[in-house]
Amino acid sequence: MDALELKKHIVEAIRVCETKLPDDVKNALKKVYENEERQLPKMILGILLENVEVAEREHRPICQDTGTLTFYVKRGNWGEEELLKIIHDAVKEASEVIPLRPNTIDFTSGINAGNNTGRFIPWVIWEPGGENLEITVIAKGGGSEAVSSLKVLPATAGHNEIFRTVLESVAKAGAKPCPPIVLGVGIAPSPDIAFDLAKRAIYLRPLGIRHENKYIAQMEENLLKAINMLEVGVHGFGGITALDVHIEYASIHPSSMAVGVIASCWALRRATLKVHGNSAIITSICFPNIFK
Amino acid sequence: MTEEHKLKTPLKKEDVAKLRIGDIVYVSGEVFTSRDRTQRLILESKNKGKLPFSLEGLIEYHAGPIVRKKNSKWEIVSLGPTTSFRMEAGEYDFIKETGIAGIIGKGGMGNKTKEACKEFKAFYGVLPGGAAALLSKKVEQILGVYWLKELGVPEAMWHLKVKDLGPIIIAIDSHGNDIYDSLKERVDRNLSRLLQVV
Repeated sequence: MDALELKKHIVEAIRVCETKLPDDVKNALKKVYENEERQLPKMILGILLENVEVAEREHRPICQDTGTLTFYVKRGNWGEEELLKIIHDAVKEASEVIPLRPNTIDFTSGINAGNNTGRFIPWVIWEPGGENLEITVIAKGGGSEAVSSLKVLPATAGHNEIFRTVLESVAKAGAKPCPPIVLGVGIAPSPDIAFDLAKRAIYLRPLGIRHENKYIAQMEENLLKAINMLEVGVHGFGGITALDVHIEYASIHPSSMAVGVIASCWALRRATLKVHGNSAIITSICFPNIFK
Repeated sequence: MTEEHKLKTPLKKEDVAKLRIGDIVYVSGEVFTSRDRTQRLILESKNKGKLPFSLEGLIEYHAGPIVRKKNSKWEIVSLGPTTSFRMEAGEYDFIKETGIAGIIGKGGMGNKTKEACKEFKAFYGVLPGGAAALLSKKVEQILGVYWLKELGVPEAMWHLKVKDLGPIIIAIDSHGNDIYDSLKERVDRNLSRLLQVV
């Protein structure tokens, strides 16, 4: 496959990401809608689901905030510099043809670049492994990024302190991140690793799939129950607050444990492009093998 | 009991006074998008007597659209509400200076906005967040765009004609009520109960 062909596929992956809600997310949302009896949250959930249908049918972005695009890339045989250029070109083209909202601003000048590229953006993360090229693109809006939180706890902190940190973060966020949210929690020796893991936990594992470590899996179950007992609810009007909670962890340092908490709005957007020789497939289902 | 209202801008004080938190509203007529940087430029131009159009009785829409040009005319592709709380710092003065009758956005505002809504008879309402593809169909016409070059597409002031934009849930009314006060109370109570258990 040549660069031009690959660019075309990446543009399509961005289109799928921005206009089609992944099936696991859609099904989770539908289940919440079916179980909800209160009038106001049910009305809102009905509109969100209708919006998802319109977006998919008419190829319009689900949300006007098409986010800051982030790419997780397994390179296969491609070179980093070459791929980076193709990804930037694809983002520029996608911004025009889908179209996307121009979301890259240089804060020193206040100027919006107009094409979703800029200094270090789109953000590209190189993944190890993979004989074949595999590109996952995620789109996350500013409203949900604004409620991200971080606490560096002593290494001796355990289960209870992690619970407190997460619950306080969700309570404080309230209706701002467009609940029902999907929550990612990263536990790591440092803040940067914690946030990286929290974001992967949200986007690179399908909803409803538990962590392979039983202790973490149990924490996810318990946290999900506790968060939904906060009763923030759909857009703050009661009912379900979180569709799921995903935790990812790294070995911590003997002195500190950073807990990063990131929320995705209900419109969790991702798509994966897999290239094998000259053929390419795009799917919004993610494959939970990224950590292996 | 919550009520449903159909309103047409420019709104009169008595239209606003009728609204109570929890009511559902559908708006037709002129609205304009505006965010934090936009508000500052609008107020500057007002002070110079150079407002592009009168904002009296209109509705400020916290939003930044996706647009495309078709036959050299702008059209809306997706447009829904943005998180309102960023505008809390400037909203009191904005309501006071412009004479707007209402604000629509998402996620809730703070006490200064609640104060302004009571003092100057305005409301704050929320639209379903993230429903942009669907809500964009409520825009009938783009009447104009201002500060596009300075601010870029998301932050420019888009002057829009809408039809039945809604459902807007009244979150702050002109009588000093905020629907999110009860959310905060409920969540704080549940949080302290949960933290005792863990």
